[in-house]
Amino acid sequence: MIRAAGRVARFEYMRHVRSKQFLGTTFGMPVFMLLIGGFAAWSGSTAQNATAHPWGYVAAGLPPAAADVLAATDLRPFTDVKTAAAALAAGTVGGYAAHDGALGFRVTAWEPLPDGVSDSLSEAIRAEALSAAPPALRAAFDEPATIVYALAAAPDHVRSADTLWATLAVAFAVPLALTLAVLFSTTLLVTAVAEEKANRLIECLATSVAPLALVGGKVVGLGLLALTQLGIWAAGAAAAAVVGLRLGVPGATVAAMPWPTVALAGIWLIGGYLVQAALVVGLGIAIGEPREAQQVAGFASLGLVLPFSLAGLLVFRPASPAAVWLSILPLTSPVAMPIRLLLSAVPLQQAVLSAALLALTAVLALWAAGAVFRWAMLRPPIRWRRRVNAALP
Amino acid sequence: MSGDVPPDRAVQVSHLVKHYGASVAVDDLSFDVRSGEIFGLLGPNGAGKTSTIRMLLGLLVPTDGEIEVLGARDVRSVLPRIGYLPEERGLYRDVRVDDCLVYLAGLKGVPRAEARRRITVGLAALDLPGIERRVIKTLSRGQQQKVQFLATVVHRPELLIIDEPFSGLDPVNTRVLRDFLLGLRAAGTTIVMCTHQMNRIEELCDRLLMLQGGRSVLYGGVQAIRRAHSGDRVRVVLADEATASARLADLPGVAEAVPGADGVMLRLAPTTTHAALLASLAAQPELAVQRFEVYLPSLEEIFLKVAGDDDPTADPTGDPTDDPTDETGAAA
Repeated sequence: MIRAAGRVARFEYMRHVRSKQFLGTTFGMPVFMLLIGGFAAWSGSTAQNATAHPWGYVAAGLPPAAADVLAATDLRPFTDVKTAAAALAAGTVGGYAAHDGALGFRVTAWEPLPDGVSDSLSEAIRAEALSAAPPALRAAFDEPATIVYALAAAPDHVRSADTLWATLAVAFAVPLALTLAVLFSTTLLVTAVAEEKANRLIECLATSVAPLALVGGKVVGLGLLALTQLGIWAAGAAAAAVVGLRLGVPGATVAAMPWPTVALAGIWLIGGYLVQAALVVGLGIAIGEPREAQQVAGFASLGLVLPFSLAGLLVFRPASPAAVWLSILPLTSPVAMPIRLLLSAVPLQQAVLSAALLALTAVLALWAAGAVFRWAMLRPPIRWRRRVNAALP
Repeated sequence: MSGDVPPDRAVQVSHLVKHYGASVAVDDLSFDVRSGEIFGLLGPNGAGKTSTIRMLLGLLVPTDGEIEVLGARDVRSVLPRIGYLPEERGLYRDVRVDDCLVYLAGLKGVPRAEARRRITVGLAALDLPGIERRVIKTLSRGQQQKVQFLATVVHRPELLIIDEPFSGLDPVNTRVLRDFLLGLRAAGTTIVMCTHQMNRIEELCDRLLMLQGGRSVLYGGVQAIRRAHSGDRVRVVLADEATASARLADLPGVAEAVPGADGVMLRLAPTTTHAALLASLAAQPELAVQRFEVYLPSLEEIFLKVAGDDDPTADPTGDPTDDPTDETGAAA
């Protein structure tokens, strides 16, 4: 039976690894994400700096420190208030700022003060104030505190600000990649099973292979496909890290990442994949129509998506009861537990309980999938959309 | 393995019953299939053919009765020696022909290199040379059907079960497949063939079983069944064709005389026998009988007659397994 399952796994892997779907998703998804991220960054920056008109300031009467700051900005300098007022009246500027002689500016404008202009004026005032302060105080203003971030529930584990942001990024990128790979593979799985039932190939296969070997082979083959996809993405990420180091990303930040914990997340990936795979095999064989089976399988994957919608809870309250339950319940733990592991100190008993429950659920789900497979293999497809439509008034 | 079944029996079925809840799909069915023969399994839709086949393949568990296939009561243990082509069929559409066939052959235990060699030979025999590297969805429907047929036989099964193998094939491909099947029989393969094409049954099958309502209503050798259903009709050709019909109608025991392109078809009165009619004709040499033959109805006529019977038990076959060598176990 193991040999037959191996043949099924090999066929399913080779059949899909060369498919346009796999190649498109594996190489297209990172490019798509980069494009989305790049566009978001560009549009945010543009929106922040955009104003309907340029703004200006009156150079006359500015203290030297403030003048240096404003001269380095995009603000248009005017020699005196009269010139600036004329430009405002002519509509060539949206507003202008003039020093009021004390520690402050007086702004005259047609339109709301843009964030960028406000920041520049604040910076000028701060430079003016610090120019008269003792050197020690100036240093304190530049770096008022040395900040370290403690892991939730583990005050002794601290990180620098740079490491915190990098860890946050990894804590979401890794489960996201795992989830995408699992969802992609299980979509192929449900399609493959439903397709074989729809065209009655399943009947021929069942005279060659035991149903358990058939199900097991498919689950293993497409699981390997998910690992291949993750491997390609990991290689791409490693290449990006190398490029980043050359471009000036601190090596210490990369080295400080909790890589062993990232590897540990693989346990929940495998468990999550097996549970999802068992669910979709049962659904695929029972429904027996590829498109309808995919739609139902989409609902089954909500457990993996839910933790992402509760990201705020997992990030800021990773030891809260809700976060703990999310990381223990088998349908949500494949995503929630890796996030908690990366962002907090998870008690050992919680991690063990989560892994054990997930493993038990995977075994039971696979057993149930085999039983459903044998039961539904020769039955007519369940036309669930037709039934729903018939039930609706 | 069992010692109860004669060695020349590829399949032995005894008192087989299959219920789906309250519905009876197969009811006390007994038959056997001899090694090396082509055995026809026919019947109207819903007669129980598919359920019977699935039980033969171990895909369904019988409610009652016994099955032995290739000498084994545990059918799954001999599945590598069986080939099965279901009626509704399909293949992996996005896969190359050779990859698909090597995979399916591998599941039956054929090594890859040997499978590739057999595939090349098999495709040529099915008039599909050189399509190994083509993706299946690019093939015509007939080509796909022949590829699936090859997938069914590539592991050289001892028992081949095929459901409507000719459906959807044009006359040329039908001939190719028919010749292939005859070649398999000549090589000793036992073939169980389900089809609604009665001419194929007549042409290819040695024996047949017809089901209706889950029960056997016809069982035996094809020619024996036709003879058993010859009934009251006789075809006679006289030298004088012009007056033949009228003269024959006047013979004692003739209820009806219908002229045709190939002689006159006589329907005998219930009290008359073929021999009595022949004696009457012989007693009148002036009729100049050129041909006298008992009319053998086609299987299609027999099928329609039997399948149209509302009560299948009204025309029983008896229990054919009482004497498995009885070629005339057909309905009387």
